[in-house]
Amino acid sequence: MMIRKLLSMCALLLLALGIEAAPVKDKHVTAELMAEVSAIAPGQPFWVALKLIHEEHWHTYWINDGDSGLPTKIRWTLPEGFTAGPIIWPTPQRLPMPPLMSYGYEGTTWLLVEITPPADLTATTVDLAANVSWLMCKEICLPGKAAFTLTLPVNTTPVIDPGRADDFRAARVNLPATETDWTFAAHATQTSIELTATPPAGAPALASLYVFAREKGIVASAAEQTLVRDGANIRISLKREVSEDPLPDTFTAVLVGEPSLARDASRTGLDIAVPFSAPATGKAAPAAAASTSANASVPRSLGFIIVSAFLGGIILNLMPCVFPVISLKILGFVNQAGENPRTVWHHGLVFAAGVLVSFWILAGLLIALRATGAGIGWGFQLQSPAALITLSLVFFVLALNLFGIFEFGLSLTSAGGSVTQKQGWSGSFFSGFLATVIATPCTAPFMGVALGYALTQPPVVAFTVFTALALGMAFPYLLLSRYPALLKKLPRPGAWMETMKQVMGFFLLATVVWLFWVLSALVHSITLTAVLAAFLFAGIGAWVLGKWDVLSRPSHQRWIGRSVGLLFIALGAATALGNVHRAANEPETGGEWEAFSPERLAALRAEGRPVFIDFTAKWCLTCQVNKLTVLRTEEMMQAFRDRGVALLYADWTDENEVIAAELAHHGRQSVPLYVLYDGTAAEPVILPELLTRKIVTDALNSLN
Amino acid sequence: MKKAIATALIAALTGIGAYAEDLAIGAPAPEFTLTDTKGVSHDLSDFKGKFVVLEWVNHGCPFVVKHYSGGNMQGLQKEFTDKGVVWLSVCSSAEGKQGYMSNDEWNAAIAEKGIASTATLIDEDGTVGKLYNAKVTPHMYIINPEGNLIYQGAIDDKKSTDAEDIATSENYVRSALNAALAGEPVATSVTQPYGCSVKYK
Repeated sequence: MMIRKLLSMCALLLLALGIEAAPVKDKHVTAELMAEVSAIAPGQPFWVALKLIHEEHWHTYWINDGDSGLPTKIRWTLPEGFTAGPIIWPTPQRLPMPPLMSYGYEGTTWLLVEITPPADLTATTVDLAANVSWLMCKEICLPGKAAFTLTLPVNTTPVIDPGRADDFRAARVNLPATETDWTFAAHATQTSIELTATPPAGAPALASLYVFAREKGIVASAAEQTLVRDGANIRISLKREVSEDPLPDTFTAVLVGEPSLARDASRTGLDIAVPFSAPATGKAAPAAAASTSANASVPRSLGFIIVSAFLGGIILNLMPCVFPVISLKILGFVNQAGENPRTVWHHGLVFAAGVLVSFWILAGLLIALRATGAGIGWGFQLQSPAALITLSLVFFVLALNLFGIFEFGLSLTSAGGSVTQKQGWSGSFFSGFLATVIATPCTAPFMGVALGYALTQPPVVAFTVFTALALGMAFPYLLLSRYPALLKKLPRPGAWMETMKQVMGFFLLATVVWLFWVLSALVHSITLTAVLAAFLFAGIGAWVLGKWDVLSRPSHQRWIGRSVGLLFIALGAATALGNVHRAANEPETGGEWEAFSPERLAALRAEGRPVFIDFTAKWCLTCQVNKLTVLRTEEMMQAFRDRGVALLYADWTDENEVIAAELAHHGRQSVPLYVLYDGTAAEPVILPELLTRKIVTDALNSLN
Repeated sequence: MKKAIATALIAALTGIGAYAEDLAIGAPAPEFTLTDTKGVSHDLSDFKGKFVVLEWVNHGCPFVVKHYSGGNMQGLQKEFTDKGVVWLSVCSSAEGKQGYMSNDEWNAAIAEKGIASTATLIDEDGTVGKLYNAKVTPHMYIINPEGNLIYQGAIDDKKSTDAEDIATSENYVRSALNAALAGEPVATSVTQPYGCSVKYK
């Protein structure tokens, strides 16, 4: 009896010794696996720790190892019914190796894992085997590994091992805390993740803050993290890693602040999981029409974006700057109505192809420009004086053609841009092409979202979105050409058409005036004079063509007339294009409108003043319409004054990087954009792209 | 551009290591001139008209050892140089740091390990490594015959130092080269590279 008791005591003693697997030193790291308990109980989870002691300057890695390295791995072999949780990682340290930055641990660290035994456990002892592997680096890197077996007796209740209390206490202090009085918001732009941290009242000022993104490949670990104090808030801008993968829905990170952001100040790290949001989630925008453009949240489902892009494309047809072409094209449909319906349908298809191809070219250009890092958005082709001059000359000559000063010779029919072309596939194709070129500066509602999205996405997605835009834009034409029944409702061709043609000529001239005005913002007055001279030369050229390049003349006279006429037009183009002198762009401020700068915005917000920002450009007709009919009206100005709203004017007529960055900050690539800060720290309200006085008044009334 | 110059200036003046920008897929791969272990100078533009693979290497790094010990990397080099691809191994280890070897040591290692790359280029001052923002060994880049970057990142999808993982991993470089050689778009053109940090000066 005595002997049996002694034997069982010996067995228990042996078991107790077997609880801890001896430390294993592999090269420069000593690893040890330990359990917090000396006995486990069925169904009762318990903790084990992998303790890693690093030789001086040697380190192992966090779950996100940063630029180089490999997170430590534990492979468990557990008895049936046991489960092991993931590694609970302690707060990491920065391991800079310029120009690289890795994240991991030096000194002593503990990786915790929770193990759950099955509820129906009947064994008296269990063996928990673990194969541990790690990468240790100083200058150089070496793989390390160790195998452990923990043998633990099974009891009715778990027994805490007092000999391990210090280790587990230290392990838990090093874990990032989860409780905090701070609140966080995150949103992503094409190039950065912006994290806003709002402190609780009375919190001491932060001396420093570092963000360890938990997922690899989201944030460029070596990039500097810029902290901006924004009133009471701290804004941290994190550079995004170049990646093809979409962002997760939630930004997970460990924040290390000085002092700590955790409620328990003894913990240096704080675990956060913040859903990515749109910049304008603070308040709902006042008008229903705003809902699609205001909620420009970054991760959108592709399907939604494609539908928006398609609708946006249709609406493009209604924008003021597409109007001349749509009218001309309808004129073309009238002419085609007498033809075979099949031919009409084919013309519609070719027109759609023209729209499609031009959108693809535009998408290709945008992607290429984005790739070269130029901060250029939509409408960029109208920031180029050469493009503006060429377009205005083309429109001017076309207007003269519509007035009947000259007729297009056969040689010009395929030269492109002959929107009045009665037949010919190239005519249909190029009118589709031209429609797109003119449409681009007008960013219709819906389109901001699609564009912002497309430009943050891989090229394939960007092309899909542009394709949807193009199909939307071509849709009304396709519809008209497919169902000639609708065409029959149009008036029959007749003498009225000549009048209509001439009226269209005035629309084209109006477009020329607009292009010229855009140009005037970009270039020196010398260039403007050269462009006017170019119109004169082109006018002479057109007149010569009309007088001598006509069927009533002998062919040699026609030939000379055509040469001389074209020469004059070419001379005009050369005069204008050869005299492009860029002028410094003077923002159109004055009165109560101040030029926008991020510093001015921060200063005004710090004062607690509401701020309204008009992001605009001369080449954006929608912007001008909003400005003249809404924003600059006396009624609106009085409303702004009544509420003490500071007015900022961000002119993006040139390729201004500062404004491009601010647009990107709101998830946009284009103007117009109207932003209203309410004077508190809240996120701003984004107004729709087509403003009415009511929309602005309602937004102002929502200010408190 | 002005911003980039200003950043570089500030970094140079204050001695802070500037954060290097990753290259953009589809953009021209930056031109460089490096001398190989046989003393021959190569310009990247010498290889216009061919696919070029750049492989950052350090034979002391366990991640590189993973791919050379069982002949995985040599096999890949042979497979694609046979198809007319130019394979350039680049060593940016500074003198005195891990992976640095003299030309004689390199040529002996090339013979002993059966390294089948077109040439091994020595970048001991790290200029080209930093130009490409090469972070780790192995860090892989593929340049198309027009001189544009079509792939950058890891060699495969199993981030480990264990050679046994190679059999079950997807080799991104092989997939990208096979697609590109067949005239198809590269499905995965950016991945997160894994490995040891490049042992810059």
